[in-house]
Amino acid sequence: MLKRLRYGAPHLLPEFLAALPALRRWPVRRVLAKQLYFSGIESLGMVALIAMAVGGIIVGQLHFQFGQSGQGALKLLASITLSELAPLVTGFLLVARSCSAMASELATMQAGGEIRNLYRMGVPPVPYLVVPRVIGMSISAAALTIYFALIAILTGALAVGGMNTNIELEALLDGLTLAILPICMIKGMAMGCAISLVACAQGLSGPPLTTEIPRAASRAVLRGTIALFGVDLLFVLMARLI
Amino acid sequence: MSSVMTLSIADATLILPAGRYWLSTWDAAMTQRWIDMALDSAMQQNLNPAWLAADGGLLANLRVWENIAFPAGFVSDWPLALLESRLVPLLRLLKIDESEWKRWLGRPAVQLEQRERRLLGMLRVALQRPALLVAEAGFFTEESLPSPSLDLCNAALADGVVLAIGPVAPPPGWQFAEIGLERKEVQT
Repeated sequence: MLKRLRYGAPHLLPEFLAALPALRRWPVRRVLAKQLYFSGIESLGMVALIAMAVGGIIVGQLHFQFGQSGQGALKLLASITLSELAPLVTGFLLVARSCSAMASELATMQAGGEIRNLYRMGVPPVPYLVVPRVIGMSISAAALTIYFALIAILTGALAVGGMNTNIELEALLDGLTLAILPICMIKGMAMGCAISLVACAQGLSGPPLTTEIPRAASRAVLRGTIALFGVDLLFVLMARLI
Repeated sequence: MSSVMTLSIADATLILPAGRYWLSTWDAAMTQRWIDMALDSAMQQNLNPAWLAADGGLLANLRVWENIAFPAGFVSDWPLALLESRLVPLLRLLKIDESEWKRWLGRPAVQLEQRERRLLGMLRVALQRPALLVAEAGFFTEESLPSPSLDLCNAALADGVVLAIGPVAPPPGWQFAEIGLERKEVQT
């Protein structure tokens, strides 16, 4: 057991699933709380800013450039945001912000011999390091996805409705299927899970060298982006099958 | 738990009654390999060994108290309240003012000096009260710890087996008995 210091992404998923019961231990829950803070709470401002920009831009293009009615533009914005944009853009933001940080943190621990120390203390890295990061990132991604969608739609409603925003929103709610909300959240969660697994795998898979730290961060961003599209494609295929 | 430990290292079997032993190695690579073998062997027997690195073996992104408490919290699943009740008497052995050590416990481990890192490593071991401690022999150097900290070390290492592995012998004050792998059994 002490010799297994390197991980590839394909090995990590089954190990992660097997290590889930470790969440009952307080050191793991503590890492989870920190992860929720760093990738969830600290991302709120950035996500809100991008969501406002996305909501404003889409409604602006549809309503003011292409002459789409205010109601129609808002409906399209809500539909596109909840089905695709919110999980995907939130995923991108998390890849750029948290995955690179996560991978470089783990690679730094690897280079500094901390992963080896964990093994020697009888603390395997997957339950202690990977489980709380992946769970924290999945929860954060799900919450941030909904947060993104709400802010983008509110901004769009504000742009087309002005003082009559509530009337626009009421009309939107009448025509919107609310079943799309949990699907949007699950998609966000799956994307958060995938990108954090990739980031952890990249952080832990390299040799214990300081030169590996920037490489791990860069690989985490690139492969995380690919994973995002992979999950998105999977959801599209599943929707077709169902 | 049995007070005699049996460990397999490099095809040899060490039978170690309670006490302090220094297993001499030739170089750093051999030291690391034998440490892994000793810990592997102990873990396979569910002996719950503790590990002490020459530099304390800290996680840089944790605070001091987290570094001290998390191995016992993870491996033994001890709740925080129990760990705190065991840690306070150990900290009192250091004869430091209570407000000072409370401040120290809240510091990030990355900011600690070498001496403090070693002290933290020893506090972690003392908290676990292991029946077997595998250590890098480099931890036990003359200048490693000031005198009140030696009380803590002696309290932590009083029972069980301490196996220090490394090329340099711990100073005589630490009372380690030298063993080589050709001497497979230690009699006391």
